[in-house]
Amino acid sequence: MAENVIEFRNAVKDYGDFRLDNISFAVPEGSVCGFIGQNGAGKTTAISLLLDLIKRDAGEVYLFGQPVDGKHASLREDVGVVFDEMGFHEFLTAKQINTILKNSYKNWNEETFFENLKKFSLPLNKPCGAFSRGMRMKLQIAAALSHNAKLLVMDEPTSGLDPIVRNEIMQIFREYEMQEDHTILLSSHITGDLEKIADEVVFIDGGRIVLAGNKDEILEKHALLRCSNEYAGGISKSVVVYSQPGAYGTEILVNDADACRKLYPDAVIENATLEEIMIYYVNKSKAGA
Amino acid sequence: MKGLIVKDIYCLKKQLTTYAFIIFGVVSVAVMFILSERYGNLSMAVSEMGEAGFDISSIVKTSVMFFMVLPLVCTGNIADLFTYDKAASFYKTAASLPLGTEKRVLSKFITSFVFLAVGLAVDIAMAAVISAVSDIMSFSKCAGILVSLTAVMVIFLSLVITLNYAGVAPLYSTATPLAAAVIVFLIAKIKDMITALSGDDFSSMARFFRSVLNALETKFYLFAAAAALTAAACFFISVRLAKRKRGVA
Repeated sequence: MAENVIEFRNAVKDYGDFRLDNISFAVPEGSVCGFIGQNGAGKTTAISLLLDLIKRDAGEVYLFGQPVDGKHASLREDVGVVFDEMGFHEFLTAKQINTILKNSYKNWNEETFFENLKKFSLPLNKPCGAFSRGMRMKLQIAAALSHNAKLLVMDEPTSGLDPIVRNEIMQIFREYEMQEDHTILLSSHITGDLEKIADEVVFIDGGRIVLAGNKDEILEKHALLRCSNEYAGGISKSVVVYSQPGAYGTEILVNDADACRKLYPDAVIENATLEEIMIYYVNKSKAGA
Repeated sequence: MKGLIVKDIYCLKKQLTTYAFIIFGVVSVAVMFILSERYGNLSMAVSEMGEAGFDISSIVKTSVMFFMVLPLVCTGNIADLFTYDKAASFYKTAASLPLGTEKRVLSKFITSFVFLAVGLAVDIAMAAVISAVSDIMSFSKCAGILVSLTAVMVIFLSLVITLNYAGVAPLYSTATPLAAAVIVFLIAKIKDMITALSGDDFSSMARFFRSVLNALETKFYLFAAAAALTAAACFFISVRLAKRKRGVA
């Protein structure tokens, strides 16, 4: 069985107006984990806990089996990070960034970095402040892929990018994860991207983990059931995640698609996308709030 | 850690033009002083005012020292590093590097002291030239003053760094140690200042300046000890503050 590269155990971070509430999930080695949730759901806070950018209030977070407690900085030697913002000074050029990172990572591979820059068509001597958002993301990815990182942690790397660039970036991730021991934690609210690449999915909403597990299993288990409003009344509550009644019928997200297909043959049951699953779970928590 | 120092140097490189201009200005003024002290108006003033009872040499020394302080002071713009880091959200990138908090904080101290050392080197070179070709000041006296001034700058920089890690805005983090230095100076020298200002002639002011210069010349070891203690204390406080915050550049 693959070991967990990332593990959250009842991690809590309380900001007063927002609380990351007892989150627990694990990312096995060699997998691509899609960390999904709407804006403000707690994805960046969880990633900040993982990278030791903020101090947790309770619980435990493990990286490569070691606790994230401010004492194991060398673990980050194996972690490539891509943030939603570039994180480099705008007057720095890619060449200067190479000098900085060469002197920061033991495993920094200058050749790989320059190859990546060439592959991503990034200029060497232009200040990165003049880069487009897509180029800035590619620069971060180039850096993250140039020190033999075993884990890539990415916080919304594709948000605000056009579909062509997004597709290019997803292709880069696909190539990276072809190596068995490479793991990716990819946070995004663009579920379409994750559906293409993720093995595991962790869905967070309002600071709580709503759903976590194998992506295919989650997609297999969930389905959209369409039926008349009268028929909907007879659907067992135990399989209903959230129902959305309309003028011409009801749409229900169910969490046991196979059972529903057998129990409710008169209803139209279709596979649900990750986006639909996310929307219905968010609506459920809003309705419950 | 070397990577972060390199990054800080790239940041401060933006100020190199200003710094080069100041150095050029200071060297030019020093050359003018030397020439004037030997052959020009200053030479005449020394002989004429000396006959009239003025301590012109103290005024010349004070003026020269004032210009020599500039290269040291200009290296003290360390708060800018925090401004640049904040603007770029570099704290996230820094925290994702395989470096512990201590090393990240230490890199800031090292960068600021390296820049201070550059200023000191320029000043020592100037002091060597001035003492060799003029009678304004001997090299040993000059060196004493420079050590004292460098120590003051070490204290200043250490406080600026610590205040920045405490979350004080860069402008206030620079202004607060400056205000503190002025207050300490006023408390220590208020009596002498009142005497100097209430004196009838110009020589009382000159005496005051000479006493300040004498303190800098002779008590440099006290300044150096205070600087070492402050730098060490500030480093440990900064590390504690940074650890509490975690994500710091």
